[in-house]
Amino acid sequence: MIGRTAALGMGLLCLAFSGPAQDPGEALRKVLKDDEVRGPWIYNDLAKGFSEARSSGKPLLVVFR
Amino acid sequence: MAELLDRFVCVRMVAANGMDLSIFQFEYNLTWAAMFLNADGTIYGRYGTLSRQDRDHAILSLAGFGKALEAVLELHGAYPGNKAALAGKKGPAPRFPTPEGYSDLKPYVKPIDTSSEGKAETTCLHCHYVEKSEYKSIRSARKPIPDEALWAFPMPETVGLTLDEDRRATVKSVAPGSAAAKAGIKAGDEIVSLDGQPLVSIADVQWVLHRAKDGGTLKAELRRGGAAQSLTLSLPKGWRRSVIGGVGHAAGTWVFRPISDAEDLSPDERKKRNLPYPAIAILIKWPDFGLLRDDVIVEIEGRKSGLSVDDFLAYVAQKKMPGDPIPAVVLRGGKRVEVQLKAR
Repeated sequence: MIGRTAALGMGLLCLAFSGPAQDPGEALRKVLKDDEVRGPWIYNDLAKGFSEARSSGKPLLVVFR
Repeated sequence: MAELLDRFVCVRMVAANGMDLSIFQFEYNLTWAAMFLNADGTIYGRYGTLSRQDRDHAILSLAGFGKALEAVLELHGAYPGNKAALAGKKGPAPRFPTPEGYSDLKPYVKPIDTSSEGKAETTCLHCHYVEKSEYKSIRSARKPIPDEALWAFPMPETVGLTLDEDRRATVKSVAPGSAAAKAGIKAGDEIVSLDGQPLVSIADVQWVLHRAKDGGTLKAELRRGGAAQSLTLSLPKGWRRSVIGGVGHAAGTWVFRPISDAEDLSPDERKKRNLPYPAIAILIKWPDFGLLRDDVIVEIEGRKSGLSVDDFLAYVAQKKMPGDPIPAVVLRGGKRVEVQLKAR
């Protein structure tokens, strides 16, 4: 189960996305060595997430580490 | 999956500092968890939970997560016409608006320190701290911890349902004699909504069960063989008190438990030690609180049978106050030894 869980987490975060990379939590991401995060994931910034959801009309996916 | 995710604004939260607890209510003892929302804060659904190692099957899968994403996009497409049906996905007002409202979590008001990995780790507020602090608040007020908090986010198996982790909420099997069996739910049924809430995942079923009342009923809308079915799931008194996803695994129990890591003796070990069920047989796995590794608790306050680890922890959480003595007897090296445990 743990193996599958890790695969789920890694699989989601390593997927390539369209669009430019955005990483407002760069300092936190670097210090936590969260290198598996790629693509336009918003890092630890819910306010930015809600703002982008409002402007884009997309739903929000919030993943908890 | 990439195409699906591209249709979402994706946020990765690594700490619960400042988290809005009126919106973000989920299994805080998570292995992996996610919430899906509209930009206005309306909750579409949840995914993920605590994935216990002693379960006989997985609960998280990429396929299941993909199905959840598809379901959320359907709900989003129908929004706000379905707003009323989604109302139940938001929980009651929390004790505090953010985790830092709890007195023991006040230090986390300061921003996360990113000067080093160690400093970041110690200033990040972990999700499971919320449950722990909630338990502390209740214990400080010298009140019993209620069933809804001790057995939070019940697994579907608690009502007899094993769901397919690769689908939204499709029934794999139904335990005979269970609440689900009595409701007439069958293997293969797709549960479309429960208690009026559209389901995107197993976590959504857990959410409905988490909010369900003792002795209450839940309306289940199903698809069976392509046809719609409507059934009623009756929850008997005490339904929540199940060893499945029970009390013992939760990080919050360290607030009150008078013993460290422990488990019920296996049937083989019971046989070897001549402790047939339902004799109390709680094996201590980690030395602490005056107990040694491999001690076996066989008597608690004069009682010798009918108490599992979960039962004992629930008893302490609900019937004992911090500091209350709990006399017990352990088997240590084959000998009976009297010990004095203490509720915390």
